[in-house]
Amino acid sequence: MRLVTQNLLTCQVKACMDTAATPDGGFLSYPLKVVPDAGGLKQVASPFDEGVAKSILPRLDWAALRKTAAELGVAALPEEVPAGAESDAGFLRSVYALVFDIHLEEGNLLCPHCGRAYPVRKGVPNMLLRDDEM
Amino acid sequence: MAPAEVFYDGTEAKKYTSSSRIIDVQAQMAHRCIELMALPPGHRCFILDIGCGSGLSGEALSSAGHAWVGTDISADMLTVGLARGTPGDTLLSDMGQGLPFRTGSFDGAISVSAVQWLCYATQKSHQPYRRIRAFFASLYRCLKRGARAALQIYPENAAHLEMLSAAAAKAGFRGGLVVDFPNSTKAKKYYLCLVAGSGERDDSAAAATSAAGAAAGAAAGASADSSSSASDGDLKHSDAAMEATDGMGSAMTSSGLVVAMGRRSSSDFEKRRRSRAQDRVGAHAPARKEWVLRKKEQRRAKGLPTRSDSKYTGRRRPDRIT
Ligand SMILES: C[S@@+](CC[C@H](N)C(=O)[O-])C[C@H]1O[C@@H](n2cnc3c(N)ncnc32)[C@H](O)[C@@H]1O
Ligand SMILES: [Zn+2]
Repeated sequence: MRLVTQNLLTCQVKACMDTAATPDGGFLSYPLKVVPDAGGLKQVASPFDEGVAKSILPRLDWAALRKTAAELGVAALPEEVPAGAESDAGFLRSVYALVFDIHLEEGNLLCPHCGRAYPVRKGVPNMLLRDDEM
Repeated sequence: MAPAEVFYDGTEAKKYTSSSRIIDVQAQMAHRCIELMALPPGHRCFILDIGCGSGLSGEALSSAGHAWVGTDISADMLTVGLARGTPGDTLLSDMGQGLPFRTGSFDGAISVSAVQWLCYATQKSHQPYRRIRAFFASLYRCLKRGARAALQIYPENAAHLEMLSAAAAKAGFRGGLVVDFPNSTKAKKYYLCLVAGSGERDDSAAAATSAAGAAAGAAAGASADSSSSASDGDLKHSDAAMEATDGMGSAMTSSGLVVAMGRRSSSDFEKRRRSRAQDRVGAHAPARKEWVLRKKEQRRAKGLPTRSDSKYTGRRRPDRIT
């Protein structure tokens, strides 16, 4: 799983969702924290695709990406998307590499609100809930 | 009935790499879903594939230039996808538990032959209505406003179709049901084409209209009717579409969705395809057998392994699906 996908994922535990909304429109249950096992994080270079990079940039939750990148120690992002970023090829390239080339292969995604751990095996997060979580 | 995650076990999953018929049909339906999403031309989009399985539908998305994320309940199907080296990320997730994505994540969604599974209670704890509601509510949430979902389904009966379309309408979707090849029992396909409206009535009605219009595709006559009923914001069916759906159309009455007829009968389609193929070969092309014999001579001349000629050489094989 790449960071572009982690940027979209939220905890689905019913009790958690019911209490996660904050007054400012945010969610305490987001973003899920990336906790790799030893050696569970992989970097695989992929060919830069400017079209995809441009279409992805405006939909990233930048604060969540920045937090995750800092926690993993893989990039120090500016607090805000810099003005004119969508036409800055260098910037697009580095964001593209960050969200498409870093893979969580083995580890967990942790809900910062309820603590639920979603295991990731062979790069596939298991988001299935137990009956008592719905 | 076995649950989907049991039905799609290792053996079933293998067919998605070995059966050319399954592969072809899955790919065709995926391409049709992509067409029905009516994405802005030339845009690279970010798409959700629900029941992404072995990634055949994902391959169709990638070849259309889109990035995607897939969800599926069967670990075995996803394993086949990993072996295929699908370019999208995949998640193990049950759509009946809701899709685990934040608001406005995707430019569109497709699904090939998966959503009808929600109509069955395959576990003791399953309540189909509840699961269907959870699915459509979460789908609506994770689509951008104005984005479309094209879901190819195999409804077992009118009641199932009604369950799905009513829940979609209740979740806030507008749109319609497209029936391709309505006159063929085998080739007939249902596509739920949904628009996640902006909440503004005018806007969403217009969106639904164009969805039905685009959805109707080759449908003559039917599309005009269904478009106008979409902008009225309530349900009317075109008679042609009603007939086309074999009475299943009547299942749509309370759902607020529009029925439109999609591609024509498969036999028409086949005929057109064949005549096009013949055009390509051209009137002066040598007869099939002569052509095959000539090719075989060329191969022999190059020293390549070539079967000997017989009275069957150059004949069409009746068992071949062309
Ligand atoms: C006909 S297959 C589609 C295969 C896929 N489009 C492909 O390209 O391989 C239907 C898929 O729906 C999945 N499915 C069934 N019920 C599901 C559910 N509740 N949630 C998620 N996926 C489900 C099955 O596991 C199966 O992989
Ligand atoms: Zn949680």
